[in-house]
Amino acid sequence: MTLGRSKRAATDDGSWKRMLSARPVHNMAARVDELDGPSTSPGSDAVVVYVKNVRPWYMLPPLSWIVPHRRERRVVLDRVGSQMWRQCDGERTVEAVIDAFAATHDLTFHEARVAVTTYIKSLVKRGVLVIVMPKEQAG
Amino acid sequence: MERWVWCNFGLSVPADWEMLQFTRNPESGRCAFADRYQFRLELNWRAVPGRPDFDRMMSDYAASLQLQGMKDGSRFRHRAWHGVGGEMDGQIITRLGRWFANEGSVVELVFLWPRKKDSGLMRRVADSVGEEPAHDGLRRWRAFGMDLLAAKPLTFSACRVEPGNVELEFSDPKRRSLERFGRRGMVREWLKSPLDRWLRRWIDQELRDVRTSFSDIHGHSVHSLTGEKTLPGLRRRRARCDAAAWICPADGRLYSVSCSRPRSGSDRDAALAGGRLSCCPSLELAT
Repeated sequence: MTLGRSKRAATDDGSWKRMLSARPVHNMAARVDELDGPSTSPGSDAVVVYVKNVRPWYMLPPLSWIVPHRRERRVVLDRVGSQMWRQCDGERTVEAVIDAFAATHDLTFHEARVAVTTYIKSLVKRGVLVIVMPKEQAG
Repeated sequence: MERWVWCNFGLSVPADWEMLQFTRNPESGRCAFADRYQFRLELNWRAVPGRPDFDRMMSDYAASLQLQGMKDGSRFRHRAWHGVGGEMDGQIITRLGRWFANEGSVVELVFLWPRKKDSGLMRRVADSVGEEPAHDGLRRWRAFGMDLLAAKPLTFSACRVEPGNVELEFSDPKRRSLERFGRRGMVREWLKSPLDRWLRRWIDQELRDVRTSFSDIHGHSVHSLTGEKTLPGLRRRRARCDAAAWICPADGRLYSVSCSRPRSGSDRDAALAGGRLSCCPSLELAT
């Protein structure tokens, strides 16, 4: 026979259910500008998130006179990104966000899963979102 | 159930199972299907010189699995399939093996059952596995929402699968003959130019004598393009390129197909939309 059970084929418990049941939440410390007003181009529907920067311990004079510390960094989400970001309200699970994205864009579940989880990962890295993992079930 | 055809083997799996892993080698390879929560099925194939001794192979296999920690192991037969099942790493796993004479390959199915074994489903999937022989020099592939016919002598040279963007490429070693099949989703988000202009860009070749046309095929607005290019080399041979693109009204995705091959006396106009690539039942391949 050609194989046993491939370890490549699965995560530790053989499932990505735990990842799907996590809940992405907005960073409450971030400031948000929703650019859907008349000042923006029609249909742009973008969101700008200002994430607070932590001041590094070494950012003291005279270094801070030369390299100014920015209190916030700006993350601009395009229309598709904004739609996804709005879904991350702390109530919906990653699975629900994926289902909504798949339904909106006529994608299969796994197409949407790859797109959504990659995007959520990049937003978590930039401090726009945080992930709340589900509690481990006893037993 | 949804039919998939990959590397000369076809099988039907539940509609919510998707292929997440694959190899392109027709001699030996694997592909894996998953439902939304976990991998459910692996299809493995390996070309072997002759029919293997399945009884011996399965008993060796079962013994080696028991050494690896398989519990409650049992052997069984289902039609031409030889099976072994048991529990491993807290999961019920069923393995079935069978020899396919025309392809000269051993095929193995590995089912992973999250809760309990569904024997009916296992039998339905196993019964659906079959060889997909070439017809009229064309070989069928059915995957990622595309049903296509690629020229048999060409090898499966590239496959790009991204969310909403799939492209399969078949070519000869020198890439003088090249066939590309694509399916793209989220069209409203990125297609900002007319489809004929997009098709011209997708071909991405210095084509000469380009002729474009437009036709309605069973409710699909198909943009077609024909041209010629000069192949690299001292002989300055010319190749003919045919391409077509359309947006399927059923799923809203953009399908594209291009075939380029060195010019010969036997050049004939072949319909690409519905002739080589199908998107939905109303544009089904004539096989």
